[in-house]
Amino acid sequence: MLKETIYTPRGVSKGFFPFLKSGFVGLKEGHYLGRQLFIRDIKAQFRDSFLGFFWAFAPAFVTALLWIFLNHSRVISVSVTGMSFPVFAITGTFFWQIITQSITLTMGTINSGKSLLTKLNFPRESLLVQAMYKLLYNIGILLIVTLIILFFMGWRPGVSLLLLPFVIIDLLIFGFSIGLIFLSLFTLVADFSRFISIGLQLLMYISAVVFPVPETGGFGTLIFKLNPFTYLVIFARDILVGMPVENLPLFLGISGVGVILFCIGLMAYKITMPFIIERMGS
Amino acid sequence: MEDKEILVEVENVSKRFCKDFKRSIRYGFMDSLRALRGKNMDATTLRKDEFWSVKDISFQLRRGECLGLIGHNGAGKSTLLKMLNGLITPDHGKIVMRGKIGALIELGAGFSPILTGRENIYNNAAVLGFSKEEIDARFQDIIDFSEIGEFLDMPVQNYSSGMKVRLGFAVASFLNPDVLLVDEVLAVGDLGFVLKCYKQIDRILPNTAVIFVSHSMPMISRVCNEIILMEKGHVKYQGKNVGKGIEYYYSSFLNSADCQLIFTDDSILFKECIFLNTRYEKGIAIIDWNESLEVVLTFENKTHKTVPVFKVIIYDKEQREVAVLYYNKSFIEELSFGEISIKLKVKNLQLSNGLYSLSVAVLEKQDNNMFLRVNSIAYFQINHYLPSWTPFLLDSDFTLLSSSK
Repeated sequence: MLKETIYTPRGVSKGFFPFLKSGFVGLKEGHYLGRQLFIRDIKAQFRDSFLGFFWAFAPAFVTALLWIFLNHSRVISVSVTGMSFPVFAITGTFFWQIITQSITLTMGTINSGKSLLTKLNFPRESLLVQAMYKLLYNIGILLIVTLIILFFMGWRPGVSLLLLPFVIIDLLIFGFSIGLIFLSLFTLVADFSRFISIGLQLLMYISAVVFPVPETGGFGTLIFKLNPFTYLVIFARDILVGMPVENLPLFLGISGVGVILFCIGLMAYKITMPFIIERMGS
Repeated sequence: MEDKEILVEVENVSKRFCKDFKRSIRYGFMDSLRALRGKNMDATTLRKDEFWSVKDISFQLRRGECLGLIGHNGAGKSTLLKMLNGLITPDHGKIVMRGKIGALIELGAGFSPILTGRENIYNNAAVLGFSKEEIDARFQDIIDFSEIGEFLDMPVQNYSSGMKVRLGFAVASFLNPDVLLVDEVLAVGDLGFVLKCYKQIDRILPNTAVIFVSHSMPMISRVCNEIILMEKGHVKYQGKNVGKGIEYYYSSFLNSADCQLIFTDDSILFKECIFLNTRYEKGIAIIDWNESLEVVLTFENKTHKTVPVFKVIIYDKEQREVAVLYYNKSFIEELSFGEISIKLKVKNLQLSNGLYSLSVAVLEKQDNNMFLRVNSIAYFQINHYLPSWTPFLLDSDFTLLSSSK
């Protein structure tokens, strides 16, 4: 029996959960192709690049080095408790990179799949798989380099490190979902991609990445506390460095929100994709 | 033929687009929300700034059949093809596709410029939905067909556009799809390759339903056994009579390609062209096959005293020069200023069924020193019951000399 495909202008009439499930089925179906596309990208990436891996971790360390330098030369002075400032800055930028990369790489991967999307019919979810692989790859390299550097700075792995993979996946899901939800804006409205790059920079400074939450109270502290990324970064850093963790329930709550966001993102992707493709032209 | 299964079913399919991009984004979000709430997305009316890109198209295609989609640029052919391929969803109607779909909407889509031809074959086929085993089985055929040979391990970015087309076509067509969608892509290849492509389409056609978009009517008439002529999204002609559809297509160009003045030095002007002993339909002279073509050309002579050369050329509907009228000067002794008329006659005109146009050039000598050139001064239609895609249908006698029992 031949496979039958039907195209009609129907909306999502199957109901919430079947539709969500079809998203996950799509992820499974698109896995082979997604991996293939990922391998293609990696091969291509190293063919016209001499520095290869370097670009996977360079951005994180440039930011960290800048802040370490500023602090060291006393242009600014940040005092952190429980660890040295360089460790604080490096771990902070590491986790921040996970969040920003998972937002921008997701959007970027799908955006660069434009020519495929408008010309060929394939499981649309494969681009998501491709983005996930890319993310894991980049973050994996970044993680290894970060751990090596931390080791030379006197950091030793503790038991809490076992929790690190979960924390990283948590951050990835969070960023990935945000990327998916705003994907349609990103691909169609040019303003939005500029907005994202500025917004993420701004967000970094209110997420306890390169300096801790101010103790002064007032408006500054309030902004930090209202920002969910603050808790994610602080919690992740505490895990990595082996500090006693604060706010565990809050963290779990935010993680739960992440999972819900992921489902919303997946559905948003499925729903908006036909409209995006229509408007991208060829 | 009739008992073969239907692979493509299209019922009253329509698609609307918005002319204003910002508004189209707004509509897109509104529609996304409607889709999210599970509303019926069926649309039969247009909103502000929208138009029907495709309107009420229906057809069925069985295995072994080839449908040609023709029409002017912007008629909706590619939109329809994209809907068939599932790239965009229809706003109204229903499309059912059965089996594996191969699409040549854009050749080399999915090629990564920096990877080699070999790597791209696997990638591209994976995007088209084929597994590694299927590709392995056909790998050699693909390479042979595309004539990539020694360049197989060169990055695709260094390929010529012809090489990319060959590779893309080979990948899509050798993987034995049930339905093959071909957009106007083959035009890039050289003649040898185009011929090879047709051979390949012929080879897979018995087991495939092919939908073919092209602006090349000889190709359409060569491959297709059914045709849809689209105009501004609507069907203008649909049926098995391919020749008739193509005829409609050509006749739709008549209004846009009226008499074109190509060159003049103002020494002589073209006035009019009248056919004698014939009937007109919609401004086109109708001449039965093997009858005479009789024309009177009128010019206004401003400065010429010596008789120039009048060159009358017959063009076919593809704007190919088909014939030139043999010219002997002996009919005029002296030229006066003012209006001059020349009568031409071609006896037993054996052009094949179809539409032709006349162009005229006035020169000092044969092929030298042009005074005037006007294209498409008049159209005429040759009438014969046989559709034919060669320019001439020559009157001949066939005699049986011997016959074995």
